[in-house]
Amino acid sequence: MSSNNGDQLFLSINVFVVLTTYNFFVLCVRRWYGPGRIGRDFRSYQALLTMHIWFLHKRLLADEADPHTAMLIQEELFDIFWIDSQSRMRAHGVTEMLINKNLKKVQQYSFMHMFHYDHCYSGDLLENPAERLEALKMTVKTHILLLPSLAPESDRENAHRGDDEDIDEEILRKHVEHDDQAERIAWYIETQFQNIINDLPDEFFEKARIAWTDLPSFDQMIDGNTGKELPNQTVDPKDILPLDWTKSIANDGTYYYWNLKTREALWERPG
Amino acid sequence: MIGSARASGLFSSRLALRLHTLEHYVYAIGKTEGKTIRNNNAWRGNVVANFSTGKCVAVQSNNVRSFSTEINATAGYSQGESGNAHINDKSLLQRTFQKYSISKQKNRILMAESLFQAATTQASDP
Repeated sequence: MSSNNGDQLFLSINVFVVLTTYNFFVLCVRRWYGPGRIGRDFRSYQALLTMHIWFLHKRLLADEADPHTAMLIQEELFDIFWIDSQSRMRAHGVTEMLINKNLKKVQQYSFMHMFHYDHCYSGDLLENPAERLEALKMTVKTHILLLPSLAPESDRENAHRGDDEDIDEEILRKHVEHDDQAERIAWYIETQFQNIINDLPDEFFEKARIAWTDLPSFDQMIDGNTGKELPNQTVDPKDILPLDWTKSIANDGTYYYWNLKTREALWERPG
Repeated sequence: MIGSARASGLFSSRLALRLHTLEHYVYAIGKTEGKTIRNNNAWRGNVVANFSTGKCVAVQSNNVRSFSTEINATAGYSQGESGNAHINDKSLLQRTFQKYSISKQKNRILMAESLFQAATTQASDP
């Protein structure tokens, strides 16, 4: 009898642990991939990386104590960014002869991405938060969610009935569908920009200790077309590394793992 | 071991061959308006509204990671931390020394590597 009670208690604890773990990974974890529905392709990752490089670039440009050194660090940062891009191209199987050609293309759309952020934080948009949020959403849809560009509203209204209008409607439908997702990422950009430019203390930044804000929550996202809640996406266990481990890439495109505390490096994924 | 080998390899290759693209310079030079943005609070409207309506999607966390223990805070980037205005008026000689001095180049590369690692971690599901 007491053994049965013990078994039941053990079972209850196990069920509690499993449910808690499930909820933790399904509902609470803020992640770009899986719950965030960001693609795992080269360009989507490049876009996320470009966004975070842009935050650091703006902080370096905003440096008033030693702008000359900040500019030199910025040049190094971009050098590393392009070397890393080349390494990831190799990891995706791009042959060596085409690396430079593809790098130029990658640089073009990465700079265009950054120019769009610059546009959001300059001129009239700088002082119009509501309009800026819309511009940020459009930038996110174009560069991170990789949706096709939407024709201006006036052009859409003047369009004649036919194939072109059908295409426009299909693109518009995709944009509306991803509206909630784009808005969450746009809020993240707003908050992160304030955090990195204004709130991160100089003594942290000067030692390259970056306190990012948390990723956006992608729970209970709404499909803009149907108004219904999208099913939550689970986290792929392969995305979760043990504490203090991080993934990096060698010049030849091979991924490796290193421990931030012990400085140990492994080619194989740590347990 | 792999990390240090890679770091030293990148360090020497970057010293030998700097990969500066035309677009890089055009971009860097053209973006000087960012220098004043820290003093402009107008753009913060969205974030204030976001927090006041409770729609906050991102909160400050404590994920302050250090990717390099070797950054010498007195030898490179932060030498202007004294706040002396004259630090901006560097002579050509000072600028040249700062650009080509081995120790300052090393410090800059370590700083940039650490910044890049921070960006990579945040973009890859930290």
